[in-house]
Amino acid sequence: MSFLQLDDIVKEYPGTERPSVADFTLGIDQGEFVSLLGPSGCGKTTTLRMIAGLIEATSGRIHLDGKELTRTPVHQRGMGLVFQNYALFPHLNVARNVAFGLEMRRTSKAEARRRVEEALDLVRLGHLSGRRIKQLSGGQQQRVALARALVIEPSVLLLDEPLSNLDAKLRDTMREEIRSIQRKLGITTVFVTHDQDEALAVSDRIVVMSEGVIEQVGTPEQIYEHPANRFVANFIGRANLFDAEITHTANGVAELDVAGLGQLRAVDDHGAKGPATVLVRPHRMQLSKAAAGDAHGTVETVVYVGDSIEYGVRVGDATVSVQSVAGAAERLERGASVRLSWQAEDALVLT
Amino acid sequence: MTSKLKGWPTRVVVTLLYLFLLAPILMVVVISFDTQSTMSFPPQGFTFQWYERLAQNAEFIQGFQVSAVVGAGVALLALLIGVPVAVALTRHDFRFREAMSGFFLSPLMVPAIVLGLALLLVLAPLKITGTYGGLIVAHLAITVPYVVRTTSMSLMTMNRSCEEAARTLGASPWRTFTRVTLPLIAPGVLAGGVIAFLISFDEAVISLFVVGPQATTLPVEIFHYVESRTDPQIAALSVVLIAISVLFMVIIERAAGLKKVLR
Ligand SMILES: Nc1ncnc2c1ncn2[C@@H]1O[C@H](COP(=O)(O)OP(=O)(O)OP(=O)(O)O)[C@@H](O)[C@H]1O
Ligand SMILES: [Mg+2]
Repeated sequence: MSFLQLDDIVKEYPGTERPSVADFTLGIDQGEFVSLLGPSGCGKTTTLRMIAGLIEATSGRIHLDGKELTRTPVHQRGMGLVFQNYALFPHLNVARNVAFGLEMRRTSKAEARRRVEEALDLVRLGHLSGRRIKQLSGGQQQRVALARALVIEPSVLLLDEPLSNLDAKLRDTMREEIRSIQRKLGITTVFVTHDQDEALAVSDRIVVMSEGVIEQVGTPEQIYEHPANRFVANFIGRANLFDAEITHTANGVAELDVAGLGQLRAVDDHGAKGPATVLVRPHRMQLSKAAAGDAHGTVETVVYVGDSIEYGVRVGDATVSVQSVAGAAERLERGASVRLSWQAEDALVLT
Repeated sequence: MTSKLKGWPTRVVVTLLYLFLLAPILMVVVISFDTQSTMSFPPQGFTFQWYERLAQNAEFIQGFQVSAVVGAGVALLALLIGVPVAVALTRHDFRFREAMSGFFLSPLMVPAIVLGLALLLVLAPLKITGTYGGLIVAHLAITVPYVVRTTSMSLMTMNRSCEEAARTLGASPWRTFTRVTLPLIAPGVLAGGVIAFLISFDEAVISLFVVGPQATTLPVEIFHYVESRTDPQIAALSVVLIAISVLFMVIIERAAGLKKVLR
């Protein structure tokens, strides 16, 4: 059993046709940084709030450090939660906000003062401890919320889209900061986000969710390079998905007959014959000029984005995205006839 | 655009309207300083005598005291009942929520005279008519709904995740309420209390049914007084009461903003 263990968690809100979270089973190790990633409405917040105890699971069990806490009320769970809207107490100043959790624990005045100071220093806000909440910027409020959650030395830190209200640049700095604080304290963290870049950048492991169920759990590399299914492939990064027929598999490599592209090969962990879907990332596609009779398709769009050129190539009635490094190859014009291919190790057969 | 709409014709109309509404009050103020011994217009001279007599009128002073005590008791009890009810109605879901909500707002929809009669029928067998207790119970019927309303409004507009944050930080439900919810809804609660006091202090119709020799409120004393006499002492008393009301309104305005509360 892991440090934080969720088993078969289900949440059904009354009056909804499908459960908001279903059969959610996940183990999180001590000190691990795990992201819940998925589109809006997939049940990330619901899951996080069940861990915090703010909502009760319809069924299933939660264990923390071997102890069951499914029925433990919120205020006895000792978890730190950072809300998307920060939820700072407007009637208390910065220091009193941070001290709130310690007051509830009846920590002595002197120790509370020391720990509040430490926590504020940790988020680099020591100089603002006397400020009113209204007088803080969004980023500063975010830091206060983080300090307030951390000062109680929670067993688990829960973050619900903590960066979504910040502008793009601040978002990147804050996410690095959160990650480095998390590493420094070694605190087990569950981070909710719908931003795949954010999840890829900070997580030890990512849990990809859709419509209340887990689609895949894995390291950022696993999720990106070996997506478990079409949904994950499409949701994480950009993806070309091809229909193909597997004719032969040997040593984890499948021989394929790909619709519109002919004979190609791809990595295959399944070893099953028959129809399959093949994933190839745009930057792994190879594009070459061809004589009209020999071509797979024609270039439909050409977008120059600085580092690279993005082509949209029409093959039959589908459009394939190809990203090629600018300058590395001959630049193709719209309407050019082209052949498409890939290296076997750059393509993956999905179930 | 709006500045054009606020041109002089609008201003004249608005000014006239206010004058029309305020005229009776202004008249009362003027008459309270008049030397004539019946209330009439225009005034004939200037005197403080009605205020002096008012200060010696035992019935009025007694009535004022009764009304103040009853008003304070009503305000306090209306808060003690109304705030928990508002919390229950806005924070909890239970089977008879709608029914309870209707029940607590219904006294406002019944004519005061009907309510007065009904209260008399209920309170008389309990032998508490004509007592402070009876008056307070009667006034609670019409003031609790206001407290429920102003408090519910505050509870619905406050940031609920503050309560959830307090809970995750280790606050029990009760401490969450006292340390976070209550401070955040304080303006609405205070406004509810002041309104309860003012309504109780001002209430005449229902009180008429339940007053007695030991406890007669000021509005009822006034009522009895004008049945037999018409000297400007009443006008002087009115001016004093208006001043008190204005004072309270200023308190609410400072605490919460009148518009927010009366919405
Ligand atoms: N109180 C509620 N009553 C009924 N349904 C709810 C309630 N709260 C959430 N839901 C439903 O549960 C599902 C999951 O919601 P949740 O808030 O967990 O999504 P999310 O993944 O956090 O989405 P977002 O990225 O938009 O925050 C949604 O379909 C939502 O409509
Ligand atoms: Mg959410």
